[in-house]
Amino acid sequence: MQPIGGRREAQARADRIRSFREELGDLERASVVTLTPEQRAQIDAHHDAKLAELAREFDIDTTEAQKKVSWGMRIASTLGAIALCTAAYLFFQRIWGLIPVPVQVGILIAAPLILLVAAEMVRRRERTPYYTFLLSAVSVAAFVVNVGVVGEMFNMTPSPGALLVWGVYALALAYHFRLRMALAAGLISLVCYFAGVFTSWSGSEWIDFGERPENFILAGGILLFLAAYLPHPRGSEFRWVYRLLGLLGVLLPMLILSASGNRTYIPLEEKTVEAIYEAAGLIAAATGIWLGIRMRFVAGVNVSAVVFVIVLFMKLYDWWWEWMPKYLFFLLIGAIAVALVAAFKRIRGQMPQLESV
Amino acid sequence: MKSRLLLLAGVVVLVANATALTLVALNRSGRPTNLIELTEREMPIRHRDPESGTVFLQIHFNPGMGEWLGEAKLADLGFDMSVPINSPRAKSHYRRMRTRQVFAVLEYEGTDWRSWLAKQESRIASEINRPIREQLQHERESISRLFAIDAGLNAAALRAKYPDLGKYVIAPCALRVNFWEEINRVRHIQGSIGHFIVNSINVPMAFLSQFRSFGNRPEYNRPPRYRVTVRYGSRYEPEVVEVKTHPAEVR
Repeated sequence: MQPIGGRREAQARADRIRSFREELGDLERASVVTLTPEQRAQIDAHHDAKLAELAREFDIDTTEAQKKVSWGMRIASTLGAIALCTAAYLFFQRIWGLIPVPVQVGILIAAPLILLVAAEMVRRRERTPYYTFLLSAVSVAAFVVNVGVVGEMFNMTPSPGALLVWGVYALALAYHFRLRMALAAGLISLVCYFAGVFTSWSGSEWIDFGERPENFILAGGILLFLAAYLPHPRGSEFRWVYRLLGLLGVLLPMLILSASGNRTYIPLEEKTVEAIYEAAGLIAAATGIWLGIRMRFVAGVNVSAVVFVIVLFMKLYDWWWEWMPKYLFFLLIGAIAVALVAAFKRIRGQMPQLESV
Repeated sequence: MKSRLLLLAGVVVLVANATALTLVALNRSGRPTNLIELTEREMPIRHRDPESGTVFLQIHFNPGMGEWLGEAKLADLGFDMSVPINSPRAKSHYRRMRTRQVFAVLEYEGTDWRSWLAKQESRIASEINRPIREQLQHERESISRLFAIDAGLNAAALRAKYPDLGKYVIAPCALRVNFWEEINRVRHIQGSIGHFIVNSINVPMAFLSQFRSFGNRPEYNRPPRYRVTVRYGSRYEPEVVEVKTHPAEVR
């Protein structure tokens, strides 16, 4: 049996054991299968030991009731992180004018470091990840505020370097504390950094990087490459984040450029660019669906399917809206939607063992 | 490995702040690149936080007539002006252009300002509608006296051309290309200075008490309430070094 790569995989294993027990009970009651008491005892003992081991090592939920409580804890810790960040910001806003500048700078530097140390101390003492998540999220927020406020205090020129340091900090915390949200925040920050640097190389203001969606396509491709070839210490948890962000980095710019062809680096007419990205978007989305099925990546299949449908309907609107009777246009759209449902139903039938990732 | 990541995070915080503070010190050391006294007309309050008492001022300026920012000048400033203005590709080519960062030269109470003032006085004198005349008078008393007159990629070369630190502000700005077509299909290309790269200036704690009695907005048809001396350092980042609020000093 493959070693458990992380909390997510451990929870999936516990859920499979619970489902197996429920199904076995139903089969026995329906007299489809009958186990001897010894066989039943062996299986139960094995599963009980396995669940205890997983709970001990990964602090997972072994019952449905525990799952519901865990969801509540996740929501509470997220809201708690937001509330604490807000409280800290408003408190310092209140006393800011009373504190000398060196003290202000000292507080800004110390806050993320103190929260980082606190998060590490809590991680070593607690098995539940919620307090660690809360403290590390506030630490990242404190560092973002640190860099932003120092820049404002001294009227510094805005620089993409801020995105670089935020990204590296969030990634360090993500890999140390195994936090997917910090990983996502760090990767997004670094992608924006590279987009900003590339924009400034092209002669424009770096802060306009969002005006050229193509800045993100290469970064999306790099993230997909890293998802495939970078060793991920805790298995599928982090790989999922790289894949999803990579896919969004590739598909969303194509979707935007298929509707807004003037936001491109390509020196062609707007309509030509839109046609290119419509075709590219359909091909990329279809490829995303196919690869998502092969790699059992449900989120990838869903994202790619949504982009495919949007680009397709945009294309149909371009072709038909002007000349076709409106009732016929919507009739055809409805018929295509029904055909797509049938196609996706067939796709769903090809992925019976897909993990819920 | 785990403790190294923690160490990396701590190092990132310290290095980022050390770098920022070093750059601030570098900016504020040595000779200033700009040292100019401006009133509330040129530096109105952008934001004042009632909780913390912090105040941010914003630089207001007039982009001016802009005729000097024609195609030749824009090409010198790095824009790709190779597509002829009447070409079928011109519209998509020029409208697609993003802003570029350049050094802009702004003149305080210079020729452009006096020219504008003369025209405004003429309009006031000929306007018979009282509300409109009052509005024109308000504009005359409140509009910024900083006018953009030149731009370039080399700040030192611009300063050599405009050496008076107290009259000409040379600072990084965003420059954009405007392309438009009139009803008779006559096309135009002209550049315009958009905004200062550092557009918002924090007022140091030492001067905050002088702003305490001010509301965010200047009073209608009243003279400016303060004068600030702004110093730009070697990195062209500004700081407020003096504030005068006494009416005799402000006028």
